[in-house]
Amino acid sequence: MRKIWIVAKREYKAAVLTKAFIISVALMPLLMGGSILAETLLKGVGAAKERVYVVIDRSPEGKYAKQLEAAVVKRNERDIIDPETQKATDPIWKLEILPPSPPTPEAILEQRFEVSERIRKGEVRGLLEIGADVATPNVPSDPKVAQKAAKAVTARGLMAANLSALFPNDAGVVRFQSDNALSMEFPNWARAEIGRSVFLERTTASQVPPEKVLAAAVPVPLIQRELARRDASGALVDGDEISIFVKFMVPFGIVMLMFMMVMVGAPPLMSGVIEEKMQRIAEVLLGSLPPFGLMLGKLIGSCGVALTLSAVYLTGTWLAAQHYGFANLLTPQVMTWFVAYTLLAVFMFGSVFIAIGAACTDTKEAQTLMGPVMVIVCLPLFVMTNIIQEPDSAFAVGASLFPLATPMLMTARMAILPNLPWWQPVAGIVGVLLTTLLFVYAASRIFRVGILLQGKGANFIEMGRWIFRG
Amino acid sequence: MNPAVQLDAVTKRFGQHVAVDHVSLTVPVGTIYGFIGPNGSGKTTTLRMIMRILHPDEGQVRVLGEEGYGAANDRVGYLPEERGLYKQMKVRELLRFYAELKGYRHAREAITQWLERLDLAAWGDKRVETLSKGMSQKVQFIAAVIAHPELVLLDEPFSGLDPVNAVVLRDAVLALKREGRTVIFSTHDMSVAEKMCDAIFMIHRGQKVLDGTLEQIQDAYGSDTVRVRLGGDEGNGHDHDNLLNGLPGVEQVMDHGNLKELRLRRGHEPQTVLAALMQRGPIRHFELARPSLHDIFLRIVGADEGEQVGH
Repeated sequence: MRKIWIVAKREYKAAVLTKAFIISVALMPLLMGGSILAETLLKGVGAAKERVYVVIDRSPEGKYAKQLEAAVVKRNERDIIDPETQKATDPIWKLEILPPSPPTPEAILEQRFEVSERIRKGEVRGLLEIGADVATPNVPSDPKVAQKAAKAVTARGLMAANLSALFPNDAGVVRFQSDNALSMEFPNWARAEIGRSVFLERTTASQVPPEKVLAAAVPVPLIQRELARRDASGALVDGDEISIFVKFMVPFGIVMLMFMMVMVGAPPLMSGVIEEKMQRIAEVLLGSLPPFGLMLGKLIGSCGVALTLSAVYLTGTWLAAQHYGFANLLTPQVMTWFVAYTLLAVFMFGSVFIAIGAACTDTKEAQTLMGPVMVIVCLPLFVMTNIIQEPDSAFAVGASLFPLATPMLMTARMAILPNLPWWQPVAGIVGVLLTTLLFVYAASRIFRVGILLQGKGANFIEMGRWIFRG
Repeated sequence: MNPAVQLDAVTKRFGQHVAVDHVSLTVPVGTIYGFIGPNGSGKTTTLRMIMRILHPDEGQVRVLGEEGYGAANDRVGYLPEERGLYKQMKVRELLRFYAELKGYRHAREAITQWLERLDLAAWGDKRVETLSKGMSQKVQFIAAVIAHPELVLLDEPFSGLDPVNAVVLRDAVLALKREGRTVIFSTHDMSVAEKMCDAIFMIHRGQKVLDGTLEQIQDAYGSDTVRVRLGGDEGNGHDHDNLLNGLPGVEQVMDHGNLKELRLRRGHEPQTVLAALMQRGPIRHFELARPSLHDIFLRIVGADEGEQVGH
């Protein structure tokens, strides 16, 4: 056992005392801390900059432009000022209202071109053009097209493409032109402001009180909460509100983190074994301890590496969770299962990578054999979205009980379903333990034969023969 | 006293190939035993069986009186040919690792002594990858002996060494012997084997073909070799060849330049050769000698290959 420990210690030090490892360890906290720090430091950076937008209002009397101008003043004075620091947190907007050109197509295009040139030169950020008949309901006569149009209008950002086909007449729409299509903040804001004015006009014209229309149109809110529970004193406590984004990201992050641990721990074992084999170090080592002991030492060393990384990354994740307010999802149970499953996963996949290393004579050969194994390691990633969306489906239960996928998928399910039936993680870990034992046994058989083999590598069939016949 | 190594009719097969075929060998404690044989003859397999890395399919291997796997491993040191070192590790760290693996925990002082002794003191904190080939070989040697093994197995310990380092390492090996340890080393350099080894074991095609002291081996081959230096200024290589052609009782002529080595047929008298040579021209040197190890090696390997070709 002492010799296994000596090998494990060397493996651990060889992996941990490398620049690559130190960088990878430092990266996560740096990213975590960096994002929080950047968020704090960048708050308000560049906010004082002024952004000028040209507005051409073709509606009668140009009243929407004037309303927008008043709304912009209000926004600049009130909405973007941090009450604590009294500093602007967003850029100040300024509107340049141009009188509309004559309503001929040529004159309109000429005016648009002139403003476009100013945008290209960087003098102004964009052109907002309000159609002459924007207040008139712009509903296509075909009910199907009308429904489609209604959906398209309510869509935002990337989904709001191809509207010009549904609304070919510019007079009934608000247009925005800029050289940065992804800069959506101003046009969306302006659309909402104009929409509010138009809504008031339309309700007034139809003699319906606008507040009644608004009240009738308010959608039923849906709030997702955790289950109600008793606290430590026995009092009933309602469940906290669930953020769908966080609820998705936590299991996703757990799977990715475990995948990373496996990738940091397992494949280097293969290259290590190839080095020992090619450099005939294995012969010296095997003169001191048996092949199984040598392999076990390597696996334990790798588990140590994975544990170190886990400690750093889990601490980083937990601190980030505290900062962003979702630490309640990273329960001690989830963390404990994560560590246990990570260690087993490193053992399970590590033994496979060791076997491959022992069966090959160079890294090129190893890469060929590594392909199918990598597909198996990545298997949980392929079904992860389905599992996260339907964590208690029969497929999710079955997939998370498949030993090669259990570590990642079961931990992810546990992060989503706090009341997962107890037998599932237990059955999962029993399955993984048995598979790990099987893999370690098979790998040790391959390792024993392959490690001393020089000159020619083995394929999977030969490796199978070594397992059964030695 | 138990021998350091005892092989009893040991056989090792790899599939259909018989790498070692019923080999028996006894290596007494405190001797230097040379393993010779052409490439692929079974030397490394035999060494690996002594190391307990490989198990024989038949026969028994006893090392330092122990038969079970790993029983004597901590008392055996091993130097593989040319490699065997982690390139990324620092020299001291590596030596400490190998010492600890052999159960030798407090190796710091011994490492320092060995590094100084082999002129590597300045390289202790350097990575192995920065060492020259000769330095690496010396570090490997230290790794093999750092835990004070009773039996040291050295696979081609002198290959690739310059003459100065070869002498340093040779002295270190001889010092091991003086300390009462047993050394087995494989080599392709017959003169090294002749000079250093108390006994020589030769394996060819998996079978033992020689085993004993140099004298015993040479005695077995008899005094069938004559070394001749021919005289005469007029002589050139071509004339000398003519002089030596068709000599009665001469089986083979080996040309070493000025010196010619004649192998006589079994039972043939050297005097008849001398008489025949004197009739053909002046002779400056005529010496009756026993065959060198190199010659014996070539005879065994060459005869076998001839036999193979014949078949």
